[in-house]
Amino acid sequence: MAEKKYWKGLEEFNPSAEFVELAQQEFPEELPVDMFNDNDSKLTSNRRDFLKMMGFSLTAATIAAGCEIPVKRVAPYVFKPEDITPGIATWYASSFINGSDYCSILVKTREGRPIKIEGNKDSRVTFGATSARAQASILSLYDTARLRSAMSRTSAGEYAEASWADIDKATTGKLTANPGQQIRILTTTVLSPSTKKVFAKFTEKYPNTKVYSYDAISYSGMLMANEVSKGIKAIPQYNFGKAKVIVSFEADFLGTWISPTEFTRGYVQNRKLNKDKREMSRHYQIESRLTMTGSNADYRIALKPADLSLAVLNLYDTITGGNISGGMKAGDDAKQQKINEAAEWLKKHEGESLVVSASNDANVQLVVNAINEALGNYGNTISFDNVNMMRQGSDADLKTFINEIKGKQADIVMIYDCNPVYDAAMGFELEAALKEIPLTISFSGTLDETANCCTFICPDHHYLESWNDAEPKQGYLSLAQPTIQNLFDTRQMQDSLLTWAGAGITYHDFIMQSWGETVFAGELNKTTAFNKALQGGLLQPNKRMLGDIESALLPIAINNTDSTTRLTDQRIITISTTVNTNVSEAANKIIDWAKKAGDAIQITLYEKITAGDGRYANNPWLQEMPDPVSKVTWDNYINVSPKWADENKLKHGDVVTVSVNNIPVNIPVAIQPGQAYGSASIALGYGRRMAGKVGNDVGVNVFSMIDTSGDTMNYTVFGASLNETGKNVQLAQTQTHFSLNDGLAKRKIVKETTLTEYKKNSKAGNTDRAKILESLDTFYPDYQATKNGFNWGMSIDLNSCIGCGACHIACVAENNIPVVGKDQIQRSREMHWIRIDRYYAGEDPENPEVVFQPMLCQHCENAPCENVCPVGATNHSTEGFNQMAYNRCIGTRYCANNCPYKVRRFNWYDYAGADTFGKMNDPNGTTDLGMLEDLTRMVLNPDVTVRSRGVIEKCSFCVQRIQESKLTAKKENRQLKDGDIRTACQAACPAEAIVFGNMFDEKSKVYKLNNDDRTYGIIEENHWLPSVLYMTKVRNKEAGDHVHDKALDIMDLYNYQ
Amino acid sequence: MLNLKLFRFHRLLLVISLSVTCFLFNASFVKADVIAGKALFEANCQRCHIMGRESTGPNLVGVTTRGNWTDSTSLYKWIKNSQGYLASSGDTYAAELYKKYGSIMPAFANLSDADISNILMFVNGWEPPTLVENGGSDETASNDNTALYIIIIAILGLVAFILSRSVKQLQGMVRQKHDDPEPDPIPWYKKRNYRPIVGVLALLLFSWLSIAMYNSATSLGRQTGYAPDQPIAFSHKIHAGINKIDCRYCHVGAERGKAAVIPSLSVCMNCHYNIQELSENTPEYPKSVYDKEIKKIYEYAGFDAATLKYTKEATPIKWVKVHNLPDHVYFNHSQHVKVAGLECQSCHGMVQEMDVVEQVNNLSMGWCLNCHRQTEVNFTNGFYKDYEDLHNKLESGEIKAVHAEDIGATDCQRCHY
Repeated sequence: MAEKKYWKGLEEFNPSAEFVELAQQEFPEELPVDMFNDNDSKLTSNRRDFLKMMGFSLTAATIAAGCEIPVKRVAPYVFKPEDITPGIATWYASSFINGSDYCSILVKTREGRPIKIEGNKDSRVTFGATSARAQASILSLYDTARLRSAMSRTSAGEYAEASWADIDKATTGKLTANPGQQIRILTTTVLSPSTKKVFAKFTEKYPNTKVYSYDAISYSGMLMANEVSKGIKAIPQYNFGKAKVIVSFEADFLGTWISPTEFTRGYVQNRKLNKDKREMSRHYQIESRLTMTGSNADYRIALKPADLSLAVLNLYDTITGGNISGGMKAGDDAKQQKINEAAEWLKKHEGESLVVSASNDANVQLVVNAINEALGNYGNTISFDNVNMMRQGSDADLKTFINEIKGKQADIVMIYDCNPVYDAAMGFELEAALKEIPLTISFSGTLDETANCCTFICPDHHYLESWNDAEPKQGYLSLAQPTIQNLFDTRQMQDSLLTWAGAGITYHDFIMQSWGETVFAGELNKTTAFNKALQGGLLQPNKRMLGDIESALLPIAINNTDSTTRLTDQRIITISTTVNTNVSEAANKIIDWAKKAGDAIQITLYEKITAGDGRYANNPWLQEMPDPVSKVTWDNYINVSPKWADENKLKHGDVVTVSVNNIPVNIPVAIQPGQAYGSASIALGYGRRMAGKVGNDVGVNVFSMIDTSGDTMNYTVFGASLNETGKNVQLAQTQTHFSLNDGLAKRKIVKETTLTEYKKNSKAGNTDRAKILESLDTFYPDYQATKNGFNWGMSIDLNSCIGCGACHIACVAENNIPVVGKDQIQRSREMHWIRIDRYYAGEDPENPEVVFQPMLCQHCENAPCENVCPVGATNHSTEGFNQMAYNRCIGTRYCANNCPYKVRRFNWYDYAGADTFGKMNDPNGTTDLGMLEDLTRMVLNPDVTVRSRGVIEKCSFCVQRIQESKLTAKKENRQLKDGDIRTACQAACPAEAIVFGNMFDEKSKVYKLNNDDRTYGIIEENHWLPSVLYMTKVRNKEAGDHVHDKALDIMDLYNYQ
Repeated sequence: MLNLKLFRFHRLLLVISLSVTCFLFNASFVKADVIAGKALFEANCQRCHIMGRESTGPNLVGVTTRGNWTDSTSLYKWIKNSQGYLASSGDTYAAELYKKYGSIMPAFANLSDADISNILMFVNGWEPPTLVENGGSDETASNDNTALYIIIIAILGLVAFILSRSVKQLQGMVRQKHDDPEPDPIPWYKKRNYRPIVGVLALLLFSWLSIAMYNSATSLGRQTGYAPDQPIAFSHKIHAGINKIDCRYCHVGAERGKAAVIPSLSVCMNCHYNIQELSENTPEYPKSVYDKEIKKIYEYAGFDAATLKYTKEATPIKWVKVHNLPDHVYFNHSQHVKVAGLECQSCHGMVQEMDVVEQVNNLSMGWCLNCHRQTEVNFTNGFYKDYEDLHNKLESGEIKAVHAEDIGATDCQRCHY
């Protein structure tokens, strides 16, 4: 059978001579020896200078070494808090709430400072999973851009520190000055029911208050459509775990769409396979850009954005037999055939399927609702029982707000948890208008673009310093508690509002009161009940908290015609049983819109996992996390298809001017396989002007491109023009860094098969393993581990891994992995211990298959890196670790060169600020990112060494966690249990793709998985005996659709035989 | 005459000895009760009552003369069950006491009437100790004459140098006067005959230098014998040695976590709330000096010893850290103290005998590893069930004991990560 072709980037697909040469080198950059060349460098040094320098260094070292050891002092607590013992972590249950992102979490604190976030397993919303954003949010607590105190604008337009008393006096004075004045509060989606009650309390006191909410990346169209067709302006629950067929129209539900952490768990559980469960869902993704979710799909259809909406109509027609598309067809015949196939599959699984769309056009969502209705999915895979609260914002609200500000119809404006000057399409209009309002107050924690237009800035606490509650899904309550006293003189927004409303109660007491009145109404001791809930962080007995407040922010239209009435805990929801039948009207609107597309390139604006709507811009961990698909860091760019780029003579990194509505934006081109021909996509959330040291001027802001002409924000842009600037920049793209394909041998790195084949043979795709293990091509001796104690191993299921990168950030947070900055990444010097290799597969760069493969130190039993270390800094432990002693390492980098998996990282500079003798950093690197400041360094894990310049580092299998769990077991006089130890990556994984454990324990999960028929090791033929084993990827495809027929192995590209 | 003198002398002796005996007898007779009373007082009462001043409970001096306590039966009832007494007697004085001190005195039902009588005898006979200054001389005055010696040696050296120069000059003058020939210009050590000796000496010097360099290089960063002065002259000998306070009473982390923990000020104040001055148990310590040290705690704690109230803001004591591990090493106290059951002294030395804590071991990796190689593991701990192979070998008698090294205690990543 011919080999399937795998490639990490187009440079591998069509390799140039230089690329091949670089790929074979130890490190993909030339040593900078030319800087010593006297002719063209300012650095002129000769033998005498060298001797002088050496003499000086030697003397300096002698003097430094001869100095007395400095006296170290320890200051114990004055009164030690009862629950803190230095050296022992204290955990708090809390909730990650940032805008509309939510995760139920446990916060690890050491000596009073939060250092790590883990998922809360008891949550029935997030199931103990976390996202990259939740993991990285801990760093935002120590953001150097955070405001130290309240600020007020001086007459010169600068901001000066102000005392809370002064601000309270001024604000209350203004609020009570004139009863007729109009007060406006603008927020993003508010998940917290108590916060909504605070707004109500405030409104009670000042009746002319209106609260508007919007989401920077809007789901308004969906809310409107549900209001029309279902009578409830809310997002339902989607059960991806139950759906046997999923059709998604560009909805990136594993990455960014509504509640990705929750959806991932369901989606992946459905797709996990073993000998007894050989069934999985089939996933069609129809989209213009290559999303992370599309990368995981079984079948992916690439369509231009305008065609995408037509495809919804085509799907409706095929399923219902109607003709609302009026003969308009999306894509060519081949694509039509696939859409029809999807329709057939959907029909075969009525009531067990799911159709979702990312479109913010209410018409499209109406048709999608009609499709789901026709398939009988309501009540099965879609439910309005406990509606999803994560998106409640309304585009109409935002428009009204902006018009009111422009018309000076508001006297006092408060902005909470949103940044409309930056992230609203009409932000630039708002900027000028806001300054005209008599009193504007921002609750932003940093001096962001919107705060910069306000009279007062009343900085809110970070969520880890706050009391709060959340209701991500109706009835699923969750609490947030402070894990550290507020670092700066900040105050929670809710406390500010309560103060100004003269409520005379703190927000903490307010929450307790609000819970006491609702969910704990029947409890005798409300404080005990509250504290119990606080301990677990959750209350999920299906009790609802929202009474009248709901109507303020989540209006419910009562539709009495042809409806059934259901009684819930506190109120009556009326849900229409039939979908609004007038889909043809919606269809006509869609067709009219699609016709406007014309021939120009169609641009989709999208949200990235790493940047979100821009609120994560100042988080260097997220900035440095490679995008799951493009693998680009520290930037946004315009994705275009390879064929289109070729036709328009554009190269990767060419800077083009994109003009929409006559606003030109300069942005580099990224040639993205899978991007639909004739379309392009640009990520939102970049180009912040006032995010902080890290996020300022990273990428460009394209929020202004959003089409605001319709009822809702349209993220598809027609009529854009692209002009070359003649410039070319290097994107900080990690896709071909640390490539395993260096052409030494024919290596099977990814193994995959189809479900059809897997059903027949559980070894499908992995049939060659037995042969490989028999005929080992090695000089290593046979390795026989004595069954003594522990042999740590890991299993990674490629069928579960979705590439989201939660593991990546969890690892960074746990292991003090430094941030290196864009310049260093361009030199292939990123320090991440776990990377997610993304392989494209197949012969068609216009629509390739995608495989994600987490790659970390494989802890080989016969490790090639160990043999070449001249100082024995890396060697093998009795428990199967490939251990690394940093203080022995002298930085020869032989090990990195000899590592077949390319997982060893070298500290080219003192990225983490570990050296005793000052900060020997790259002048253009980390110093600018604030990672070396005392405040930021509070995030460091005290149990893990901070590595200094000149040493190699790599994955340690989270040895600190292993040792901790072992010690706990010893103290409790018991054996270690399987699952006691969870590595940081494993604990963070929302897909449970990573399993870690003792390979000697035959009852352990990892033992079972590593002896499964699907299990294989990467490059096993050389007998390195990796401790990390992978499980083949299975696609739910027909056997004939498996693209592996054209015989071309990646190795042939390098002409090695 | 002589006899008379002798007789008088004998009589005197007799009188003296008799009276001494009587006195001793008498004294010891009285003391029997008082001594018993003192022991009982220390065991039961001292936690709350301090003789001579107010404390958690009232000053007991003159207790039997106050309120209802003149009646010994009520006092006895009170002591045996104060709560019962309060409820039943209706004694207003007792009720006031309860109000004033804010807590009820525990019931001492185990004390017999005789015991209480002994205690009261001790209490009534108690007199404030006279201030005995033992070794009370100011220790800060230096007895160190090193500087003087150095000066003397320097002066003598200078004199010797001048003298030798003069002698040489005089010799030269003498030679000139007598027209003697000049001495051999080649110095002795350059002569052929002396070469082997010079060579050997040079080799010895080189070897000595090398060894010295090696030793000083390895001892870089090591501080065996380090015994810095602390902000408070805290004596472990008084606390852990003489008063036998368990190490872990203050160093609470030793059994629980990574750090043994230097106790917080509140732990000091647990005891020093009451113990405001040096006890009589330790007469060898200069009281005036140590009382001042105790006062320093109050300074840090913002505690007013007279009113027993915290009046000022507390500031932490910045102790000087004595035992400093090298960088890049993870050490966990609980693994060693709780799991391995090591005594604190095995690493820290006889701290209970140290007035000033001194580092006795060099805390080097070699020192750690030595122990990790030799220490036998308590293999009965349930955790070690996973080591099947070693258990089999133990059973079959192939090995006699499992050493820490056998279960990977010498792996790099046991301590370095």
